[in-house]
Amino acid sequence: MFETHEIQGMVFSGYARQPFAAYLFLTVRDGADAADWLAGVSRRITWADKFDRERRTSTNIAFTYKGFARLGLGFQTLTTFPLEFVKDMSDPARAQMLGDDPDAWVWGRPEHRIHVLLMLFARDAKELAALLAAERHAAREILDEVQVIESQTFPFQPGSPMNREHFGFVDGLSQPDIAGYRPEKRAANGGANQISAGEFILGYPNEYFAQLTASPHLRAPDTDPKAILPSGDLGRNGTYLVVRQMEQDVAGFWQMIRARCAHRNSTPDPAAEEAFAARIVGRWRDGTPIAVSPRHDGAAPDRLNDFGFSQDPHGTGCPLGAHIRRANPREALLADPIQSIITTRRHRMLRRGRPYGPLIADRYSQDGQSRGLVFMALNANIERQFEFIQQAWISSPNFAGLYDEADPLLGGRTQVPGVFSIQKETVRERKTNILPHVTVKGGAYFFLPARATLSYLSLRAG
Amino acid sequence: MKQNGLTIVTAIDQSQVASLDAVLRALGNNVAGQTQIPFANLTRLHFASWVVFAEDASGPQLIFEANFDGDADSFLRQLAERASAGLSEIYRHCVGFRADGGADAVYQYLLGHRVKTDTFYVSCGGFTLDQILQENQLREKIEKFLGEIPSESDPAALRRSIQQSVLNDPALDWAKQPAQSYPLTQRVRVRDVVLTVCLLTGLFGPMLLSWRVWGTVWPGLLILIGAFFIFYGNLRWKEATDTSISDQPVEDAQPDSADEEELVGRENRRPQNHMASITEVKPGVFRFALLKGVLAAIELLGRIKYFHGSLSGIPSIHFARWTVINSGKHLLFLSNFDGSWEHYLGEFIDQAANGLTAVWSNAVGFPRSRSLIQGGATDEQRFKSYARRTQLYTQLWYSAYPYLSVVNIQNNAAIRSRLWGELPGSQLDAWLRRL
Repeated sequence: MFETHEIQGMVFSGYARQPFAAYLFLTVRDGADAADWLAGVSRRITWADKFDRERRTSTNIAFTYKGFARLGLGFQTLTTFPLEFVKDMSDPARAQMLGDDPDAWVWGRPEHRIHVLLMLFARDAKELAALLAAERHAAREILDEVQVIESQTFPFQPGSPMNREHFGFVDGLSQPDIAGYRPEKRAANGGANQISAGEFILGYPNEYFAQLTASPHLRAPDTDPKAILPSGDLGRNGTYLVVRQMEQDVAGFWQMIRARCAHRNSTPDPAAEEAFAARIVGRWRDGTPIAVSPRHDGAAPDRLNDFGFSQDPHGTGCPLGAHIRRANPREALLADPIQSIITTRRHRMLRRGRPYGPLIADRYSQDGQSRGLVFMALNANIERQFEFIQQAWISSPNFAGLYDEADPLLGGRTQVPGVFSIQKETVRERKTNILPHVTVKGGAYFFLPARATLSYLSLRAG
Repeated sequence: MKQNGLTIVTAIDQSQVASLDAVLRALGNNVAGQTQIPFANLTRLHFASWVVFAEDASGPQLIFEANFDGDADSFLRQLAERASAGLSEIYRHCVGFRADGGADAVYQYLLGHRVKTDTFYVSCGGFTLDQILQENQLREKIEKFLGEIPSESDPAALRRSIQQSVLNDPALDWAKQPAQSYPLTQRVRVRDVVLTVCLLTGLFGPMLLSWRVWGTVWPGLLILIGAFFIFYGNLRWKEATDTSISDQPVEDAQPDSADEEELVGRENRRPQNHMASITEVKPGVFRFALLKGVLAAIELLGRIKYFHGSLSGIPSIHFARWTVINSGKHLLFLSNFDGSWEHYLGEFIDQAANGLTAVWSNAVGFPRSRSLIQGGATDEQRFKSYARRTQLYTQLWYSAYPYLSVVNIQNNAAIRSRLWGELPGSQLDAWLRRL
């Protein structure tokens, strides 16, 4: 059912065997000179039909709207991209919606000149360095480097198959399963987690009654004389990639937790700290959902993504405003679980984020290093998926009937410092003075094209 | 007390459209800071909007929407008295307005241009503005009190100390009384009874008549069934042949990007948003009558059933209305809702697609419907494109409580209504969880 030879590998895989990554942001000098480079890079892309367990490296590519314009797509064709992609993440209206302050960003501001994002993955640092050098060499004279962000994943514990983010939590557990893709591997999370492929790849049926999500198309005067694109469809087998660099102040976060949980004589209370941090995230650090195990971690290794909140409608287990409950309310969005599932299925994303920067040695001590997460999400409709989740759930002050609260981990469109309620059997505990310790440093919307689209672009540029 | 809505449609002097647009935008971009319309002194006003509709050949119009407590006449008098300077500044751009006439001229002018609202929806029926603000203040004070006392593990003792703190606060004297009730008698109109009688007569009249004439109901029943099939066949034929956005590829159906950009730029300044739209009613008596019938049915359902914080499962609409204006030519929709436009439209499709399709399928270009209620809004992307394409820019919009969601308001009311007396254990816990 999937045209895997056309789809970039990162749609189906997070490349867990390749812990080292580099994100190379490039600007194209002159689109007319880029043909050979495009043709060459197209041969180096990891396509989803060539998954090979022995493969040492992976390469994927994505373009901004400005990139497509630079590579020569005509204005009429460009208008078939959706408005949010055209305007990009830093547009004032988008920023207002997302709760961002692009003036404070270090990259991705409205005047940015990022055209291309090359994502390189390797098994070790040496191989990554070689891969990066090779791509830089291939791009010389044709593209200029805007920036590079290097990333390394960290196992939760030595030998653990799961990765952690910088605050110390296992990350990337809540992933939708693409319906129809390797069903034998994906049954564990239950049918409600099987999301129609069209939510993540253009050209496939989506969650709205199996309709097709709008896809950018060629428009006159652009032509396709060699009929490379099926019916002029530029988007088929491609998808949108949302990138956000989210800086994490690890020491600030844990200092806040420690100060809030200390005993009366000001000595730290490590157990209380773990419990409070778990309420903010909605999981213990080892990934155990507190909706499944409210009192301690390690309780449910087989239920890390196979759980819901319907047994916990009032948030006495997992707080109503906890990060994972906002990011994916599962079957507890509305009073009716079935209606909730129908709605939440229409707002899911494939997450491909990885950490950047070194691990902190002591989580309570500032070390002056910059670290965080390169958030990456794949979705077929940015407005209905990424932007919706960020606005209607993550940063909504009234989410789940709350008053003027935002995501306690990421913050939102409320006053800072904010409030975080932890619901109890009787009256809630209300934590005030909550400061988000995650800051968006930059972001942009990209498109992850299919093989045919890349071939078309390279022929066109020449 | 009952909430009511006013819709006032006035003709704008053709040469004054740009100037009026500028005046309204200046006010709208600084609602809290401007002084020309002292919204805070309009003690009964929940939401208001002014929208310029300049896209029709018959001339530009200004649409004013107000949602308020009590009767329209006394609201209009208060409005005209307390905001006559600002209103004169607005309406001097309109045809037939005397700018030097003071409050009385404003009142007379607005009164003279009110149009009937076909479907008026209030999510928190019976809640006055005072009550909404007071009950939120009550909750905030209790929250503050809870932050100041040592933690108390006995729920009953905690409740008693909360009650005591309310009793000790003279500013909360009002909370000792229950809120005004909103009985059925306030929600039902004489018109409802008349309509019901007409409907029943239409349904059973032919059968009764045939019983009287022929001694059997069969001829009457056959007439009814025949009438239904004529109606249904006509509807299906029209549905199949009407022009529709469904005839366009999704990519081509998208709204003009400059228009969409302007609309999006107006949104999300706070947790609530406003949506105004005008669609053209399909020509002919059939569609006009069908639309009026559907709107009357939804209006009735809203007052009888959906006045407790949700409309068909949608818990995020404060006030909304549909009304047919300009002698049946246009269908006006105005809504004041929680959350983003994308969220609102998503809720429409996920939970109320049938009702919306029944209304809007009578408008030119709407996604193709089947049997009145099917199809239509479920065509997600074309429905959203259609909604954006027919949406009007809201120049000036006011909300008296922009930080409160419908769910918040309902929760505040529940805290107040169960504040006094003894509560058994499970209800006591439920009450405490609302805080």
